[in-house]
Amino acid sequence: MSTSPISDTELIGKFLNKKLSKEEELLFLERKNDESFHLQLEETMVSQIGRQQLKSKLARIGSFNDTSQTSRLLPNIYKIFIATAAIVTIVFAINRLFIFNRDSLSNDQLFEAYFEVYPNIYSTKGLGDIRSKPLENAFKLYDAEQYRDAVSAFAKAEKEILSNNTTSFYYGQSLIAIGDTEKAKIELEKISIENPLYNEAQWYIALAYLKEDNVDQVIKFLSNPELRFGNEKARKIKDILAKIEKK
Amino acid sequence: MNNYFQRRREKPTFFNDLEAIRVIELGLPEENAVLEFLYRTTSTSLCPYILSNHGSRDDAEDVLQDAIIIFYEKVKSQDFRLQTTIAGYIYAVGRYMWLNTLRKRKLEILVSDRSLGDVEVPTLEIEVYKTNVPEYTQMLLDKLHNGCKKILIDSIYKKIPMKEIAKTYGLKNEQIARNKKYKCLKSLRNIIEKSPYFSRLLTEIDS
Repeated sequence: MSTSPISDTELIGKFLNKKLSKEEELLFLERKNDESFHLQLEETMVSQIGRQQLKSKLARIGSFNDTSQTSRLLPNIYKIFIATAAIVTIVFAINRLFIFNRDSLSNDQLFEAYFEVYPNIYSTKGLGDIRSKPLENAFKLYDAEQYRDAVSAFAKAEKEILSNNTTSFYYGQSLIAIGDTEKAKIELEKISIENPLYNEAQWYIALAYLKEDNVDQVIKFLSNPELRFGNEKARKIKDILAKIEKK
Repeated sequence: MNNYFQRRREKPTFFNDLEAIRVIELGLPEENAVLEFLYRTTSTSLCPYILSNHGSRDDAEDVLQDAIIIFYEKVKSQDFRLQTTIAGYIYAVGRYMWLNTLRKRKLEILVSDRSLGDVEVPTLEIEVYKTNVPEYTQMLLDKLHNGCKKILIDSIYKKIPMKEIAKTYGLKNEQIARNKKYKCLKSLRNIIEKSPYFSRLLTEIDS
């Protein structure tokens, strides 16, 4: 066991992320001669992959549960109706596949499939620094999914108080929801990199570009290695990139 | 026991807590059914909690999966004490994780319900918990033979006894399974030592 201030676990973590400082590199090389340290390194790597595989398995179980729960809720007559509709849709889709080249989804349809307004995780309650009537009103309209009115309310709120990251983010959301992607991008680009909503803002800017059919920009934004997302979002990004790169 | 689980597999409806723990602990073939059961039973309480506390559907799924993984790893390391139901434990872990996320998003102020009840949540594990695999790990493990990768994951991460591993992989006995694992670890060590990053460290120290 080493007595240095940095633990074996920490040193291994830094090594696997290639973030060892010069001093730590020396420590690493020194400790690597220790059999138990080497074994810990190998076990850490295997466990990381094992955990990743378990996470994927649970994600698959989750998506299966969604389908089976929906299916249990439906009475038989609806199931027959849905089955008929599904057959018609499949036949139609096969036709489309052969008649209209092989691109089954346009970028606009892709946008529709992946765009979902971000939930209002912000409340004006108790946040005195930005409490204002127009802003409260804007969030009420946002919650009620009245995005056209929310856009006017956010614009009014921005005039009354100084614009900040949060208002820009939700203003941007409302603008995308009504199809004004040009203005939405301007609002979303105001969000600073230090802000916790930054990654989400980048995702929505990419979706705005997708709606505008600007594939190069979509790829640029979604391929940014600096962005960090949860697994579900990462999967969506992978799907979008795969679909647009096929075209 | 096998017949019992055989019946369960035909109609996978319910596992009591002790059965679920036993299946995970020993890595029995019913593990997938148990995971599915846990997912189904815990999602009904944890997901609505996250959705009603400023989370999206993706957030809810992510946290639920992570909370089940924390439980799974605790059981595997024989460090899990059943103080409450498994569902209660997973709910408490998920809630703690979600509060942490909100804090990181600077939204702590908005959550009123902070109590975690009497459940002992493994806060230390949660703080260091990550599911993103570093690219370097991924790249090195990709070079390892698939069969080796599976044996190592079964033995090291899933902690399946070598006797069971021997059966699963059609190896003659436990000792042969051990030898196989040893060879796989050796291959992994070679891959690490031959990697450009590792070689660079060695060269720099020599010069």
